[in-house]
Amino acid sequence: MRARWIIVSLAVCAVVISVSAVAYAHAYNTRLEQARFALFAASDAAYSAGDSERGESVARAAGCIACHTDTDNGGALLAGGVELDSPFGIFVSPNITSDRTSGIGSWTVDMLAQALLNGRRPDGAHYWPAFPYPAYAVMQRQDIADLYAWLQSTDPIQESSPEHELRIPDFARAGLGIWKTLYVPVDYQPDRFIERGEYLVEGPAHCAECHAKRNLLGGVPDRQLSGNSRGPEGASVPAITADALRDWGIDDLVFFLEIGMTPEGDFTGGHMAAVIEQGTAHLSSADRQAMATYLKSAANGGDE
Amino acid sequence: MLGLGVMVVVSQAIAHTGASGIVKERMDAMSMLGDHAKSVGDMLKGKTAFNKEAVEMAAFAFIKHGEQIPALFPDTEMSRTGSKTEALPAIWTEWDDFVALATRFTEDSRALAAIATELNAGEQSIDEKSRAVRTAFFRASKSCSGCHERFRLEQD
Repeated sequence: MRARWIIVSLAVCAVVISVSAVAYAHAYNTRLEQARFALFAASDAAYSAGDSERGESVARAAGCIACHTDTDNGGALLAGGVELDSPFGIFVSPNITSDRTSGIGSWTVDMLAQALLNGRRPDGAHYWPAFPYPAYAVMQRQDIADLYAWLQSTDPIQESSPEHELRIPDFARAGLGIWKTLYVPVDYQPDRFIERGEYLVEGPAHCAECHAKRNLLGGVPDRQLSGNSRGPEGASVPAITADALRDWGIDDLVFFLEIGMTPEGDFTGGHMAAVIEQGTAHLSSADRQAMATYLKSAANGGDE
Repeated sequence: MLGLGVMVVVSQAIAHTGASGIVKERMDAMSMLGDHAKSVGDMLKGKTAFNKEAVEMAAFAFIKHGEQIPALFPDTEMSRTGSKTEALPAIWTEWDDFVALATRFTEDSRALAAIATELNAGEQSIDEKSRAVRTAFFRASKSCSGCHERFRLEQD
């Protein structure tokens, strides 16, 4: 309880500082965002119009369905309403169906790209980083075009999800400009991913958002996958560095990403069960293989 | 057969030290299921040779356990808060959903057992048998994750 109180008061202090520095940070962050978007828009010369079938696979990899579909309560696909408990309060996922008023049916592909890469709403406000744009910030242009095509093809559901119940005031959003300069990768550089597995793990699949430690500002300063003893819902999230996975074979990881079974025959629960059932279970086996191969590689580091 | 028996005994002995009574009883039962799931999983991963008898043994264990689940989670103080328990209170506040998952698991396990029993030597290739078992095993396993997702405390 005391730890939580300290977190809340530090967060409040941080917010106050952020608000006072907002003018400077806003300009700086805006420049970073513009640069990221310009690099994105100039990338992938072979980019073609979105393919909604491929887009569903992007949505599965990116966990869109697990967070934006209230499966437990029979909610419609992508209609939102899923609660995410955090030290900052409860975030509720919004409706991202193709409905033009309560969903994102009126968005352009550039609006979707701004949301994913820069954490920007169409009205220019910042998204709270419960939406994992620090990971999505490296998403490839073709993936976003495909994802857009699929999102637009989903059933429109007219249903607004409830407001977030946060312990920090909504005007603190303005301070997120500073936050972004600290915790969103500075350059748009998806070209650095030579391996597809690394791109999936670090980008769309946003593993670090739960499997790496968050600081008091809710940022993930070090995206190494060394686990988080205080993950979402207060759950302890295991380390998944190559070192931590030394007893797992690549085939064990592939199998886990498909049905959630560990090498010992246990089945995962918690959020990971939804990540698998709504996400990685639907990927191509080549993509699961690529993720597993990257997780087991030296590039995914040791525990420390 | 004997090897599997020994493995089950050993894993029961080392699992969940500190639990007692009904908590230990159900934890041991879960560990035993895990051993069976592992044996089928290892076959599907190609780590071990396809073995129809082991699939049947696993399916029968799943059926038996699925039928016992409600009785293994009585609404008692010991059951709710016994040392080492990972059972979440939602089990008792959402009891009908919990029992429905157990029932689905039992039914899906019966389907797995039926498929294993139908796999007669010579009529299908090992690949075909393996594919049939894979589909049925995957379906039954959804109840495992589905139940753990809502009703088990996840620990590191």
